[in-house]
Amino acid sequence: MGAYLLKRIGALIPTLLIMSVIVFLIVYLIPGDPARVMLGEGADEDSVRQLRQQMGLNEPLLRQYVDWALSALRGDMGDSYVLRKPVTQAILEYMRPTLSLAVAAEVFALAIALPLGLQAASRRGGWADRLLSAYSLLGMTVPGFLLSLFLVLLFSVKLHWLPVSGYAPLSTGLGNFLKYLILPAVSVGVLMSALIARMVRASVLEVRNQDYVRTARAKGVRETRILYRHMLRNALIPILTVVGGTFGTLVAGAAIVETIFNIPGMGQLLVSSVSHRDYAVVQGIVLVIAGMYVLVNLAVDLLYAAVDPRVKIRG
Amino acid sequence: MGKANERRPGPGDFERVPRNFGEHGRRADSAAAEAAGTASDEYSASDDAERTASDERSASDDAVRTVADEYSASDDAVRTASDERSAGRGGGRKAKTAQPERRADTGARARPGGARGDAAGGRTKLRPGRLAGGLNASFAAGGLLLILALAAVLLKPLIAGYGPQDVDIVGRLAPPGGSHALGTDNLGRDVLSRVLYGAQISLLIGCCTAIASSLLGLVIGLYAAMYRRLDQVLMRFMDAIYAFPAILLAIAIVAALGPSVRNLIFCLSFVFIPAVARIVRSAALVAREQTYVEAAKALGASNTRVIWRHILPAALAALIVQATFIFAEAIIVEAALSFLGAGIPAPTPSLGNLLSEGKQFIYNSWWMTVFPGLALIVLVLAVNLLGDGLRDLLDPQTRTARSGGVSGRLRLGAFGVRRGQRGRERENHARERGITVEKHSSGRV
Repeated sequence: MGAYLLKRIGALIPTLLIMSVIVFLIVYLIPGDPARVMLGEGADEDSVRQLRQQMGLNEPLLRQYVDWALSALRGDMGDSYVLRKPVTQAILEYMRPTLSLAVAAEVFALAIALPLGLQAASRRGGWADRLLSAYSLLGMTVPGFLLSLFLVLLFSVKLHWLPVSGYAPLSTGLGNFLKYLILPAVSVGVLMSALIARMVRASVLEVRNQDYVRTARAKGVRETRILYRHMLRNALIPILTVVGGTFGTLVAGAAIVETIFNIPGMGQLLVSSVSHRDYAVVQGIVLVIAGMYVLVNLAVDLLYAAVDPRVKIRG
Repeated sequence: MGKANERRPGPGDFERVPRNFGEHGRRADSAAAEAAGTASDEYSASDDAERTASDERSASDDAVRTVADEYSASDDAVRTASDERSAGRGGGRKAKTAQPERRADTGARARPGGARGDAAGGRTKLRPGRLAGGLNASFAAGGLLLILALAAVLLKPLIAGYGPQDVDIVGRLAPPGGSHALGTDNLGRDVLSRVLYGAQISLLIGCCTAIASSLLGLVIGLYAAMYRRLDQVLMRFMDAIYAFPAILLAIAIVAALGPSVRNLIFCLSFVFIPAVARIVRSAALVAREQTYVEAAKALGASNTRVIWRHILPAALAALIVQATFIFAEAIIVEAALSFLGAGIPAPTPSLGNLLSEGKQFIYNSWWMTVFPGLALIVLVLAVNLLGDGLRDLLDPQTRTARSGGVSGRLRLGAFGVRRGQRGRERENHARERGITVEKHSSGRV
């Protein structure tokens, strides 16, 4: 396991390196002098010079990158000049709602996708199969932010069932927490669940003619049990791949949808930082979300080994 | 990102690898082996992604297609259809061999005799998506929708009767019906007219982005496939760009460049280049091992000539299909960016801006949200259907060619996944491993 883990981690390094270069270079896309742009038109020379100094813009590019990357590795991504606090601290403060939303969306997605996909696979062309197709079409064509607007219109404005926007931390009680979280989670989760359900269907269909399934059937195992115990487990690896592969986009989706529901998460921080030209925060958020994606994929890799021991041996 | 995993076992691995080996193991041909070999280590990660992609893709295919013709034409159906045939006939092994072939693009181009019968047999079952005259249902539906949308956009002064910026304070927030068919917004501007202008901008941005990223991705993909060294560097970069959720990267770039239509097109094109490069590269990797390319080289053709005259055409079909999906994604991402205030600057009526204005009045004026939203859905649906149809028309045999498409569309689409499409390599890769790895391997060596 140790060797497997090391190998996986080693493979991450080049990706992370290039990603960090891209994030670093974002500031250099700013036309003109970043410091002047950040401070606005009316800024006096002194503060521009000071900010340049602070941002290290006077150093050679490579030096700047190395400094930036090294301190980012230590968890220091500079200071937000709008919030007047370290970027890392700001991101940590805003991270929880976004992650709650992402996790809630993933849970929702799985709760819909597993039964629907299994049902669809067990009778192709049946009602579940048709439902699944209609559902994926919905997921494919309607972007999450649009879906959330429509949901708000229906459930909050017309039916008054759920609050229009806002966020209640888990500490205010689970019911309250869910009441605010459900619409955003559904908006983000629908596409995910469509994807996962398709994947469940495809991979269950893939294993259903296997010998062991036939054997189980011959032994008289109940159909439900075959489906859940025999087929699902073996179909799990591709499903895990989708779940892991979509996590980064799930977080990104959460970040965007939360601006609609006024959830104080990373998405809101990102949007406000964009309008304030607070580039350190923008860089930090993009890097953190991309990093999360990488880590989740690592975790998924390790999970493979747990689900299917053969993976580890060959790893 | 994916690099973490050497190669994630896809759903088919348990099944497919050995079976493949069974019948056309030998056909893990020079082409396949080559392609796979190059790709195997450094790219294995994306290979799996691919696998996922093709499955997701088939998934979404189903989705889109089912509207027209149930599952019959989908990848899934291909797979299961052949599964079922095999079960029925008891000729399991044979029928199943045909199916991975189909998924592997190479298969289509150099399909060994053994599989041909089955594959062809499968095809008759697969074709109901095509109407009698050889016209494809999705293509027709998408094309028609798109033509209608274009016509509406071009004739907007006639249809709307008001300019998009004509302010009428007295008649503000008027509901649909009356003199304004779709109502007015908070400043009394005609919603219909603004939606049509917004659709125009969306189409413009989608189109420009699709063209720009296709051209750049094409060059990168072709040269990466031809030169090993370049491949390493370029594809690493592509992978890294790919690892970012595209919307986030786009926001960050637009934030730096400043919002404008031109910058938006630039940044969207940048974000979508990897999607094209990967597809082109995988098609090119297969093509360059073909006999005709060898022949061209033997005749003394220069690399440049080989690339542009002989390899390019092989990659073109997949490229065009991918471009349509990028078109759709770009429309969605632009709307999302404008909605967040990081896209097209405010007074311009882009669909995202309209939605963001609508959100402020969502309590009293549903029409300000619903109509721009519907317009966005129609555009995306039209372009996606068109892409689905095109894919079948251009490349009826190599169904895997779509894999990248929708998956691409997905990731951004609604914050779904976007994964590369390297179905070919991936299958070849698997096939090659089929030789070295014993049965039931999960694909890892």
